[in-house]
Amino acid sequence: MKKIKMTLLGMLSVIVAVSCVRFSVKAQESSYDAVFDEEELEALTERVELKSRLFRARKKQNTKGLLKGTGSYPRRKGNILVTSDAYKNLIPTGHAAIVYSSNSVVEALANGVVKGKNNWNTSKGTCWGVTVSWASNSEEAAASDWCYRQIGKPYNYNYLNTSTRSCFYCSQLVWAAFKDMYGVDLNTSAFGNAIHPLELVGSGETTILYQK
Amino acid sequence: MKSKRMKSFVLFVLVLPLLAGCSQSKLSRDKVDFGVVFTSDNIYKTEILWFEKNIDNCQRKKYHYAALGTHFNQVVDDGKELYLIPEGIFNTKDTKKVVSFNKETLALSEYPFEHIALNCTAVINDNVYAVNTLNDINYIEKYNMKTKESSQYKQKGDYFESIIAVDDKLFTIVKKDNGSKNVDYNIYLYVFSKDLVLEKNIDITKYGQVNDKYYQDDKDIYFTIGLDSFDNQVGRILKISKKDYHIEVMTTKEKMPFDIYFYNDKFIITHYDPVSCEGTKVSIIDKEGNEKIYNLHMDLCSTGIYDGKLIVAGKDKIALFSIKDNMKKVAEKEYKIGDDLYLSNILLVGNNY
Repeated sequence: MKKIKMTLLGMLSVIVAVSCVRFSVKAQESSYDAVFDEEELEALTERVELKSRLFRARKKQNTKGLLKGTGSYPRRKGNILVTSDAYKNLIPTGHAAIVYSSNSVVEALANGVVKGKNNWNTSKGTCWGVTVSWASNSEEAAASDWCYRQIGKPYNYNYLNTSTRSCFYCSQLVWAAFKDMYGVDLNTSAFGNAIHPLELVGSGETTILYQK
Repeated sequence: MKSKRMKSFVLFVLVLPLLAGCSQSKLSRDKVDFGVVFTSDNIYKTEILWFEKNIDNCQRKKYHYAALGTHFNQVVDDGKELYLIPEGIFNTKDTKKVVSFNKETLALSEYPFEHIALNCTAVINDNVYAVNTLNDINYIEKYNMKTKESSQYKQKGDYFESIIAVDDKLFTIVKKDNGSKNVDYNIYLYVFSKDLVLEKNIDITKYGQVNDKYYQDDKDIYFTIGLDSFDNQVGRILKISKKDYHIEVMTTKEKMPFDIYFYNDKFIITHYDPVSCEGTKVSIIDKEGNEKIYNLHMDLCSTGIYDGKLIVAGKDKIALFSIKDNMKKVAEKEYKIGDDLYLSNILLVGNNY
């Protein structure tokens, strides 16, 4: 009898734990959906596509069918990387990072700020490399260091609260570096205060260096 | 009509694997000498194309890992197993494992780690090590395969880029932000004991950015360097004595050396940019330092040496180049890989190096 009770208790704990995880993911999904309105996202995507088309036209290349993309893939410290790839089964935010060295990037993940491989040109289905138009190499490099110094900060699931510096999400981290250091706002008018990774591409303050 | 459609469908299903060029039936170990790893970082999906040495025969097998391996790092080979890191999905990187393929059976083993975003692994005897950086703290974690015990070294600041097992020591390449305007970072070689005690650190900034590609013999370890500390392209091989850490520099005529092999008393060095995977040249350097450069007319991104041939794998094809015949292309095979997968490593599992 005691064994049966223990088994039932164990099963109940598992059910509760699974439900909690599902609830948490659902809550994050709904938070994402509430902030990043589908119509606004479509409009932003169109704007980014127009900017990308102009970039490709200048480079006189069309990315269709090309594996390596158009332009020079960023490897200079402080260049910004953006992907619109969806992460299946969680929050479809895309992702953003800032180049730290030729072969490494700084990025905010769900569990904190890490350094990873600078391989988005191969590992991602879509990728933009952008530079802040007016910034010098050393200013961009300093922005990369600023991102890396945001240590021990948890992931910011409140996408609208971009004024906080106690937690970050990926595109907020990159945006905050240029905002705090140089007073430049890479945010666009879409989604209120929230910063979607694609806004870093669509911003009038950035120039595309690479697109895949 | 219905039966005709059915026949067409059955024919399509039968022909599909042949179009892809690799069978998907049960993996036959006898017909495998090396594998080419294709992986995804936004779903848990990896496919390995296992080839026979002449690449006539190819078998495709799926594995449930995201971001398994990377061409930036050398595959760790302890003679019995090949070790790789499956990082996990790109915005969490929380798989927290090192995995190994048994070279004899191709069986998979997994080793648990505490930290996310593992960057590089190394193995000394029964100890598997992995390095990562999280919130400005660098960890080297050690997992003992026999006792299943773990321990770790941690250090705030800097950036532990890679670790390499050198006999019973761990070499760690470290980048330090020093606030200097002259260089973005200083580069150090840290030497740890196998029990993670820091024994030595050497400033190697003047030599440049050391790749995680190396060859070691009894006396020395050789690293390639493709960029100096200012990100300028260079062609350098760093030779470090295992005994006293004395450093010598060899220069290559071609810039951006990356993979380094030693075959028939000669160094074989590929030259390409590992970030863009652009570059088609290979140099062969003999003991006297004479260097011959060959253009393979194929972008190099993941390479290996097996059975006297340089293997070059790409996203859509693999080719073999005979080393003794002045890098003459002797075989080529095309394959089809899904757009969601990218090339990571070549796994040499045969016995004919």
